[in-house]
Amino acid sequence: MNKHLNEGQLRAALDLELDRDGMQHLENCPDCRRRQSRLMAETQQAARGLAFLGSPAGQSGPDARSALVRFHQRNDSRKEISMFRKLFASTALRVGLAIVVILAVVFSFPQARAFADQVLNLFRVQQVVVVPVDFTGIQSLTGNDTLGKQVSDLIASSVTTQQKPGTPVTATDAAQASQLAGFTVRVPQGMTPSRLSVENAAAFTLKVDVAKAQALLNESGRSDLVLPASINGADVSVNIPASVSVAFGTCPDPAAPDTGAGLNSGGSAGRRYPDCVILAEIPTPTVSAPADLNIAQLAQIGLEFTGMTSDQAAAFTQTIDWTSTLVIPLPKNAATYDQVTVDGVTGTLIQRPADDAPQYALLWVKNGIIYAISSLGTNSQQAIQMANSLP
Amino acid sequence: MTGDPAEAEDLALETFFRFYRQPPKSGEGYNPGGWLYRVATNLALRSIRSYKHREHYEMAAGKGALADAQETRPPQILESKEDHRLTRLALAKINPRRAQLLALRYSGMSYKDIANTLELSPASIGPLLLRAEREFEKVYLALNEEEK
Repeated sequence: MNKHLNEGQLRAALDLELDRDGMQHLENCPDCRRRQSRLMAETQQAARGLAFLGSPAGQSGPDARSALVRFHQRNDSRKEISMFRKLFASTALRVGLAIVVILAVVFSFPQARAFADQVLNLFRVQQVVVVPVDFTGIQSLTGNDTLGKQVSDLIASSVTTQQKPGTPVTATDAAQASQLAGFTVRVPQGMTPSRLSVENAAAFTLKVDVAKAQALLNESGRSDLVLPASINGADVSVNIPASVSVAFGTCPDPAAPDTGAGLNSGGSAGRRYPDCVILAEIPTPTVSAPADLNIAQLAQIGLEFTGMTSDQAAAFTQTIDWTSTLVIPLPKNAATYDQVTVDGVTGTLIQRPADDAPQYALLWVKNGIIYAISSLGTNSQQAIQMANSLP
Repeated sequence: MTGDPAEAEDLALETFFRFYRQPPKSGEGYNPGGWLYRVATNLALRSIRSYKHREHYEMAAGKGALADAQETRPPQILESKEDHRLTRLALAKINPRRAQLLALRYSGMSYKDIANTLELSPASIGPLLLRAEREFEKVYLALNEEEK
C-alpha cells in the first residue's frame, strides 16, 4: 500500500482497528505517523473526557439472577398499571376516564333524593374510599384502536367545556395563593415551599348518549353489562374549583408541557426528584345531575367493568354513600392502602412499594377541602408529619 | 454513561423489558444484540438530556462523595465529577447519532460490533468517530468556557 492513509484510517489505527496493509503502511510512512500524532493531540480531550464511559475498575453490574428477579417484578408491576398508563396517554382518554368515574358516582344517587326541579347538586366529597380491583381482565383493551376511537367520539359528541383551567400560575406565598384560588391555603408549619402553583377552576357539561356508551361496552367485550335506556339524554354538569399545589424540594414544573408520561415516566423519576413532595389542596368539585337517573346499578356496572364480580360490586355499592364519597379504584398487587388519622380526620395512605419506583399518596378531606400529599419515595411518615403540622 | 449505577441498571432493565414486550421483527437483518445496544444507548442519552436539574443533582452527589471519601485530595474528586458532568452535557448536546457512536466506542465496543449495532460498514467507523470526537471536543470546550 503506497497511498497515504486518510484521517479516518489514521483514527482507526489509533484503536488498532485498521487492516494489516494499512498498519504496515503506517509503520513505514513517517508522514502518516506525523499526521496521526497531530490527530491524536487534537482528539486527546475527547478521549480523556470520554474514558470514564468504560466500566470502572472493580465495579461490576448486578448478577444475572437478581437482575432477572427485578425484571419479573417490573413486568408483574407493569401488567397491573399499564392500563392506567395507556388510558392517561391522551387528553381525550383522560377526560373519558374522568367521565366514567363521574358517571359512576352521579348515576348512583338514590332515586328517593329527587328534587322538584329535577336537579341534584349534592355530590361533595367528604371522604375517600379505595377499592382494590383486578385490571388484568381488561388489559387487552389498551391496544384496541376501535375502542379508543369510540371513546374519543363519545367525548367529542357529548362533552362541552365551559371553562378551561389554563396554565398554572405561580404564587409568591400562601397569602397570594389563597387570594388567587379563593380559599385559605394551608402550608405545613416550619417548612418553606419551593413552589406554589395555582390552577384555575374548570367546568364542563356532558349529555349522556346511551347508544354510544353501550357500543363502547360491547366493543370492550362486556356486552353482558347493559346500560339503562332511561339515562339517555341526561345532562350532567361538573364544576372543579381552583386548586393549589405546594411543592417541597426539587419537583417537576407543573406549567411544563404534558408529555403524557407523568411524574414517574421511565421508572427513574424517583431518582430524578428524590426529595420532591407535593401537597395538593382543592375544594370539593360539585356535580349536578337529573334526580331521576336510574341508578346505583350504574355504579355497579362501572365496578364490574373494572374487574369486580357482579356479587362483589353489588355488595360494595351498598356500603358506599355515593353522594359524599370519592371512590378510587386501585390495581390489586401494585399498591397497598391503609387508613390513618391525620389533621384530626381519617385519611387514606396509598403506597406502591415497587423497588424501581416506589411512591405514596396520602389523601384526606377536611372542611370541604380535599388534601393530597404525594411523593416518589418510601418515607410516608414524612407525609403524615406534614399533614399533622398544617395550621 | 449515566454516572449513576442504579440509573444504569434501571435503564438496562428497561431495555430488556422493551425487548420482551416489543421485540424487533425477525427476518433479514435480524440483529437482536444490535437492537439491545441501540436502545440502551438511546435510553441513556435521553436520560442525560432529560436531567434538566442534573447540575443540581450531581453537585449534591459530588458533595456527598466528598463527605464520604477517605480521599486526601478533595479538590481532585470534585474536579473529576465536574469533568464527567461536562462530558455528559456535551454528549447530550451533540448530534445524537454521533453521541451514540462515542458512547459505544468508549464503552469498549469493537468497530465491527459498532458497525453491526448501528447498521454501518466497519470501514466508515474511523471517519465517523473522528467527526464525532471533533464535534464533542468543540462543544465540551464551549461548555467549559461558559462555566468559567
